[in-house]
Amino acid sequence: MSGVILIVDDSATIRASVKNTLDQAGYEVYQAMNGQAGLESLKQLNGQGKTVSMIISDVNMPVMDGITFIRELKKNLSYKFTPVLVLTTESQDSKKIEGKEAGAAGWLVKPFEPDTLVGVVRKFVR
Amino acid sequence: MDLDKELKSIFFEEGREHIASLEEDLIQLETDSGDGAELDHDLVNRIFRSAHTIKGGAGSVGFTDLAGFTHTVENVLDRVRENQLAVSRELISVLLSSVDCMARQLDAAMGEGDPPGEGELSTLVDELNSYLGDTVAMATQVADEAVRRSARQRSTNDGRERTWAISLKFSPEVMETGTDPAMLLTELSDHGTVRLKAAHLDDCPPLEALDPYKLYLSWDIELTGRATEADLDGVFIFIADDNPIQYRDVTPEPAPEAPGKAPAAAPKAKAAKPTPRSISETNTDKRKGMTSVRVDTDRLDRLVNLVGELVIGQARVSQVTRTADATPETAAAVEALERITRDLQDEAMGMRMLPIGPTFVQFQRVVRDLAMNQGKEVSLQISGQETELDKSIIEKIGDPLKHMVRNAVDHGLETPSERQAVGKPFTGTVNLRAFHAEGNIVIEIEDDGKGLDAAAIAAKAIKEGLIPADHQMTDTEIYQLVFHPGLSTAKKVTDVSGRGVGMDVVKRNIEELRGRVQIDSRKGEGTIFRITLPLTLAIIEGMGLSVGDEVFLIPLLSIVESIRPNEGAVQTVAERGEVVSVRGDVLPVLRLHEELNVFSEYKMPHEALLIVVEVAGKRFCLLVDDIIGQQQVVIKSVEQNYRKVEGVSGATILGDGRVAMILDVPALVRRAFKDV
Repeated sequence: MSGVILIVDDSATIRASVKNTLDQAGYEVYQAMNGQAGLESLKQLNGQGKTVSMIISDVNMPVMDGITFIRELKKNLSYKFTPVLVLTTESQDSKKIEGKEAGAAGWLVKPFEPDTLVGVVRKFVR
Repeated sequence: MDLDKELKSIFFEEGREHIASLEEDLIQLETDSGDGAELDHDLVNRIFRSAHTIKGGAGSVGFTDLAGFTHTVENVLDRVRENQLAVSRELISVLLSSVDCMARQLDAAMGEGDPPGEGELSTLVDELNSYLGDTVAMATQVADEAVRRSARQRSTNDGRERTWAISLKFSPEVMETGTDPAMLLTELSDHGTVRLKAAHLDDCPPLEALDPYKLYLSWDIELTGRATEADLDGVFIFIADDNPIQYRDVTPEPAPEAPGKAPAAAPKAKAAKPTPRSISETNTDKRKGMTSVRVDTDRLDRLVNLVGELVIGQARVSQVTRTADATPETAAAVEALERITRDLQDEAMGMRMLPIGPTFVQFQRVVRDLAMNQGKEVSLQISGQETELDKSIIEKIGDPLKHMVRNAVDHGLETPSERQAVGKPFTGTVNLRAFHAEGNIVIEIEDDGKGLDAAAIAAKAIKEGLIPADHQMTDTEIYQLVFHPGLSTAKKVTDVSGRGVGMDVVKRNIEELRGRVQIDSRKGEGTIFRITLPLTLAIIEGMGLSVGDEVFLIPLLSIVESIRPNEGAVQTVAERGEVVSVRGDVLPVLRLHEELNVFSEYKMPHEALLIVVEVAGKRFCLLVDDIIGQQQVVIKSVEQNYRKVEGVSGATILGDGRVAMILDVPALVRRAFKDV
C-alpha cells in the first residue's frame, strides 16, 4: 500500500488517529489543521515533488472550512481530480450533501473504526 | 498499545484546551448577549466547534461517556447556533455546569479524580434536553439507531456465490469528484471475477467537442463471486446517488458449475496487515510537515538544568583565564564562549516561558460564579495576557491569584445597592493586569471597591495583640497586616474568604516564588494588590555578601538599600534587641554572622555594612561584612540534594568554584523576629 494522503482537521486527536491508522496501513500521511493550512501543505508537498493521492478533510474548521477548501481545490487543475473524503458526524447528514456538491468523492462518519477508514481510503488509493 | 496511549494523551491535552476555551467563550457569550444584542456567530460557531471537537476526539479514543454527554451539549449548542434557542443566564449556567462535568469526565478517563455521579449527569442531561424539546431529542436517537442498524445489516453475508450484471454508467463530471472508474473496477475485483460484457462509446462526442476532463464511456460488466447486494452498495456508496449505476442478480438457476469454480474465483485480499513505518519516513514527516515538536517538560527541565551547569562552568573558565596570563586569543575565545552561553541560556529559559493569559482567563468563571452567588455585578477586565512567565511560576501562581481575585470580589467590591448609594457605577470592576517592569513581572489585581480601612485593620490588630496600641505604623505597613494569619476585617464570615485564612498562605506562596506583594488602597475608591515576581526561578539576580570567610547571596528584589552606620548608631533597646535609626525610622538589626553561626572579625556595626531589606512591608537591617557585588547565578536546590534548610532557598556555585548559599530573607527574618 502506498500513496501520499493529507489529513485536514482542526482536532489534533482526529489527525493523530487518522495518521496512526493510515501509517500502519503503509500510507504516507501529512497533516494540516484547517483548509487554509491544507492548501499551504499541498503547495509545500508539491514543491517537494510529492503528489497527494487523496485528501481527508473535516467540514467545520476555523479559518477555512472544509467546503470552501474543497471548492478551492477544484479550482486548481493539479487537485481537481484528487479524491477528497469528507469527515462528518452522524448528526450532520446535510454536510454529506454539501460536501458532495462542492466536489467531495465521499464521506466518512466520525468516530470511525480503523478498518473502515482503511477500507474507504482503499477505494481511492491503492 | 503505545499509539493508543499517545492518542489518548493528545486528546487529553486537546480536550483540556477546548474545555478551557468553552468556558471562556460561554462567559463571553453571556456578557455579549446582555440587551438582546445580535448573536456573534463566530463566537457561537467556535463554541459549537469546541464541543464538536471534544465529542469527535472522545469517540475516537473510546471515551464513550464523555462523547455521549458532549453529544447532548452539542445538540443544545446547535439550537443556539441555528437561532432556535435564545441565550439566557440560566442556559449559560447549565452549559457551564455541563462543561465542568465534561472536564471531570475527561480527568476521570485519564485516571485523575472521580467522574461525575450518575444522578448528577442525568439531571444535567434532563436540563439540557429540556432546551431541546422532546422531538429533537427523539429524532437524534432515531437517527443514531438507524445508523447503527444499517451498519449491522451491511456486514451480513450468506457466503453464496452470485453473478451480478452491472451497468457502469456515470455522469460525465464524475472524474471531477475524484472518483476514478478504474478504481471501482479494482474494488469490484476484490469481490470476485469481473468480466467485460460491453463497452459503450455512443455518448462520445466528435474529437473537436471532446472535453478531456469528462467521462463519456460506459460499460456493462459481470461480477461473479460471493458479493451480496450490500457489498455492491458499499462499492458504489459514494457515487450511487449521482450516477445511473445499476446492478441486478443474474445468478443462473440452477448453477451446476458454480461450486467447482468458487475457490479459484475469489482470491479476495482483505485489508492490509499493519506494517510498521520505517524511522526515516517518520523523520521526513517531522522535518518537512511540521513547524513545531512536542517536548516532554521533564526534558525541558533537564535542558535548562544542563544549561545552568554550563553557565557555571563557563563562569569558572572566565575567572581562571582572567587571573592567569591569558593571551589575547584566549581572552577573545572565552569572551565569545561567554556570549554564546548567555544566548543559549536566554533561549533555553525562553522555552520554559508561557503566557499568563490562560491563567487569567479561567478567573472569568470564578468571578462570574462568585458574583452571582453574592448578588454582585462584577466585570473582570484582563490585560497583558501575552506576558510570559516561567512555566513553574505560572503553575504555582494560579492558586494565590485566584484567591486574591476572589478576595477582591468578596471583600473589595460592594453590592450594587451600596455602590449606587455612594454614586459609583452599578457594576464593580476588577482589573487583572500583567506587565514587565525592571526585569520583573508585575501582576496587579485592582478593584474599584470600598478600599481598605487602615483604622479598622489597626484596631483589630491591636485587639488581637498583633501590634502595640501606640504603634506608629504607616498605612502601607498596616495594609500588610491583612496577610497576617488570623486577621480579617470582613464583617461577615463567608464561605469564600473565610476568616482570613488564605491571605497569609497567599503571601507565603508568593514569597516562595521569590516575589513580593504590596498593597495600595484608598478608602472608598479601591485597592490594588501588586505582585512582583522574578522572570524565572532557575536564575536569580542576587547580591553577593561576605560574612567572615563565607559568601552569601540574597535576591536583589528584597534589597532596599545598603548603609554604613555611624559609630553608635546601632543601639540596643530593651526587649527589641539591636536597632538602628535610618532617616528617622527605627529598624531592627539582624547580625547575619550570629544568625548563621559564621565567624566574623567585624563586631562593630560601623566597621561593617547594613543591608536594608523589606519583608512584609516592614524594613529590617542585615549586618554583613561587605558587599561583593551583583551577579546572576543559577540556583541549585538544596532541598533536592540534601534537605530543606530554614532560611536558605538554594545554593549556587560561584565563578571561583566556591559554593554560596542563597538566603531566604523572609524566612530568616521571621525566624529571628517572631512577630513578623
